[in-house]
This record gives sequence, structure tokens and C-alpha cells, in this order.
Amino acid sequence: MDYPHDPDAALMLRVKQGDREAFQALVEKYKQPVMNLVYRTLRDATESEDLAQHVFLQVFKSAHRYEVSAKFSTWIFTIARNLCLNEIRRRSRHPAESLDAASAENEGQPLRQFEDTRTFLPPDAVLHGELEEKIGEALAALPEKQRTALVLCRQEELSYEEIAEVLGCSLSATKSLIHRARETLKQQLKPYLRTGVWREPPN
Amino acid sequence: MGDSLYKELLEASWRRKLTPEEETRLQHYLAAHPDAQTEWEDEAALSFYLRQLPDAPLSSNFTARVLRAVELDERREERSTSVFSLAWCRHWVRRHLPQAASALLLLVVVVAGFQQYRGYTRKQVADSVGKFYSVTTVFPRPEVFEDFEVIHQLGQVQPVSDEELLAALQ
Repeated sequence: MDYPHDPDAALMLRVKQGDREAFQALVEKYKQPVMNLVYRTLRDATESEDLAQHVFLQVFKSAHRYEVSAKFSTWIFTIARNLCLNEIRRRSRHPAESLDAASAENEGQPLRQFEDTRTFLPPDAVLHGELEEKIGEALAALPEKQRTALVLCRQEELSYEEIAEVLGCSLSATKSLIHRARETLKQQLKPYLRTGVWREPPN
Repeated sequence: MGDSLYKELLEASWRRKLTPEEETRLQHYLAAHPDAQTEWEDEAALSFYLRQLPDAPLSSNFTARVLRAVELDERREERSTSVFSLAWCRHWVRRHLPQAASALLLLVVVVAGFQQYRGYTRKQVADSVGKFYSVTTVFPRPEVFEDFEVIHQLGQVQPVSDEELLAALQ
């Protein structure tokens, strides 16, 4: 398959030539989707950000051997998923160590500047806040492949075929994974789904 | 509208909001299949909540941190490459010093032997040339061999007996 009209692949080819601005553009575009995937897998903001950073570092380091054989988004999500799986494996071997401890070279870098979005929630957001937490927990409890399939499904630019490529399984298997994940979530979130709140337009 | 089309709409709704046209088709289906209404509502509610799920928190200087990390990594790579090559040289010398010394000695012997052989052959060639020159100076000049063929023919003439000579003289 060829992807001549993938603008991100074109940017990546510029990165291959050493173009830093193209790399910066890719980071800007993909930082949130990558972070979403990593965060839903690791459930820790700090570690997720470190790992997301590693994803982009990996992208930069692999630029010299990059070939346009798939959509760029498929490629970067595959890298992100592989790093998440490595981290999960590492955690199971060394449960107490954090990613921060493993990367002492980060010392010279500027400190993280997180925006505090949770301090002043309006009262009508309380239900949403509780639901968010429940959904987060339910997502975290899903098997890794089902969770990744579901999270990638939120990326509207990714087709089912591309999600299947990231997961390394067939199209029908991918749809089946999403279906099973949704069935599990529906079971766990049943009381919330029937409230009808979702019919309200979001504030 | 068949179940396959309902499945198609369901799968589309997992990824994105349905288009107005798809919504209409769905409403027609649900009107004809009221038993599917509850299932659809649960699916729609779940899709809505999943879409509403906030993005993961991300620090505002994330991009700057990534670029800085790339820079640091490049510097580290350069440093490790030069350190590696130096260390590699040291390691190689330490490990292969006896073999290297033996090889060098052998090379010196071979070169010395070759030089000696070359000197010997040169001397031999010079001697041969000298001998050849001395032989050529002993030979007479080419004019001496002018009547060589006639003289050579004389040597091939059969000896004539005395009686025949006497008869010829008489």
C-alpha cells in the first residue's frame, strides 16, 4: 500500500532529511493522541508523559530508516503501543521503579508545567467527574488489546484497517475486540448509561 | 434495511458521530425494529461518554521537553561514539599486542629478506651483462663473416683421391 498523500508522512520524510521544524510540527500534532493512548494504558500522568516523550524520541531516532510503507499515524501508534507493552513488562519485573528513576538524563530538562484543570469544577460536572472516573477504571480493567483498540477508535482519523495494523491482527479480530470491550463497559456502566444525561448537549 | 446495514451504522458510530443521512436510515431501522431501540440507546450513550472523556493531562512545555531530549540524545550519541572508538582502540591494542608484535617482526624479516634477494638478483644480472659484453668483444667484426658461406661450402666439398688429382694434372 502506498500513502503518497499522507501529509504527516511527507513531514516525516523532511525529518529524515534533518528538518527540525517538521519534527516539531509532528510533535505538536500527535502529542495529545499519543499521550491519550499511553495514559489510558499506564494510568499515571508523569510516567505517561515520560513515555510519550520516549515515543517521539524513538520517532526521531528512527527517522533515518523511515519508509512510507504505512500511514504515519499507524506507525507512531505502533511505536507508542510497543513502548507501553515494554513498560508494562518492565513494571511486572520491577514493580517499585518508576520511569523517572530510569532516565537520569532528564535532570537538565525544564520541569513539567501541568495545567490544573480539576480545581474548580462546576457542580453539574460532578456527575461527569464521577462517571469519568468509572470509565477510566473500567477502561483500565480491560485486557490491553481491547483497551488499545477502543482508545484508538476514538482517533477519528484512524480507520479500522489502520487500528488492526497497529494491533497486529485482522480487521474482523479488531472489530471483535472493540465489540467485546464495549460490551464489558456497557455492563459496568449500565446505571450511568440509562440516566439519559448523554442526550444533553455537552457544556 | 437489513441487520448488516444496522451493524454497519453501529460500527460507524463507534468511531464517529453519524451523518444526518445515516441518522435518518437508523431511525427508519429502529422504527421497524423497536426491540433494537434499547441496545442502540446503550451504544449511543457509551459512544457519547467515550467521546466526552477528557484528554490526558499534558504539560504545556511538552514539545520543548521533547526537542530538548532529542538534542541531549544527539549530544550523548556523539560523545559515546568518540569515547567508544577510543576505548575500542585501547581494548584492541591490549588484547592483540603480542600478535601485533609478532606480525610486525615477521613483516620486518620478510621485507629484509626480499631486499636481500633483490640485491642478489641485481648483482647476478650485472654479472651476466658483464660476461656477455666480454664475449662480444672477443668476436671478430661482422665484415670478417662476409665470405662465410663460401668458406662454409668449401668445408663440405668431398676430398678427391690422389689418383684423380694426378689424372687431372696430366
